[in-house]
Amino acid sequence: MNHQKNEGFAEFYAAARDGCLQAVRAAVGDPVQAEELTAEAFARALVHWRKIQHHPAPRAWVVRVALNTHVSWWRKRRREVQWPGGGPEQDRVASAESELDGPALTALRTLPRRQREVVALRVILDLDTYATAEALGISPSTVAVHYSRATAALRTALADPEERMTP
Amino acid sequence: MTEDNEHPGHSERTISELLSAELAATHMTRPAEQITARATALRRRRATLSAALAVLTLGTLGSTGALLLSSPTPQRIVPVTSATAPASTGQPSATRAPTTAATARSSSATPGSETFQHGPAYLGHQSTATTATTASTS
Repeated sequence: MNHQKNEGFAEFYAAARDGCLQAVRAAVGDPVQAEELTAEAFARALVHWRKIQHHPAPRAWVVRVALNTHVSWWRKRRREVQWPGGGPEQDRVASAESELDGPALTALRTLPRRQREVVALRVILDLDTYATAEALGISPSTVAVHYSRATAALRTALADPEERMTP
Repeated sequence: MTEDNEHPGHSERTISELLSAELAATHMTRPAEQITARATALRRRRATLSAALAVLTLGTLGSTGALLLSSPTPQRIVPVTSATAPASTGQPSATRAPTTAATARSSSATPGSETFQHGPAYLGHQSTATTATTASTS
């Protein structure tokens, strides 16, 4: 029964897991949290596998679910009382791992959330503007604006300091 | 891209390549079995929630029905009539109309009740009004 329900999921997971994780990591920033979110999104994809296997862009669906879950986790955590030291041990480990990121990921982390999500879907998952718009539930023109601003900001951030000084 | 001339080292393609290179080492370490186990737990939770919702719905409907059936004589709303209103002897009448049977009963039996005592003529006449009330009820 379950085998029939899950048919094809193992192949999808094997093929899509790294790409989805990378996209979620690019959008979220935190590698530990990104893996948690991606795993949760894949589990939800399996719950709805009958529908998801016919989805035009199942990877985008997984990334979108992961990003939505991130927002809802953030909302939930916002109401919690924070630890006096600045957060639990896991947070500190995660931020330490984030500090090892290269210049592109570091620059990406400075962008607003929506811009990071657009970059993650367009660059990492290689979706076009329309697929990105559908995945994020926003209009294609908004995607274009976010993408343009994000790439401009990244270009500025990644430019050499000397180059940045010249007008 | 047209911007290649502005920043030859960091065109859009280069940003993409940089990001891909930095993310290349990121791999999903969770085995598929863990995802399947989590999905099974989620399915179970969904089933439990729907069962609980069904029980709640039935329970709510059931208790409402039981409440309707168990009260053959629902609370009556007694209107203010001439019989229940205090006599017009120059004293102020109740300012609030009684809405339930209990209120109607209290205002009709005791003209010097709470409603009456808050009337404008109450000041300075408390003792007589209360005495008259006590006398009339007893």
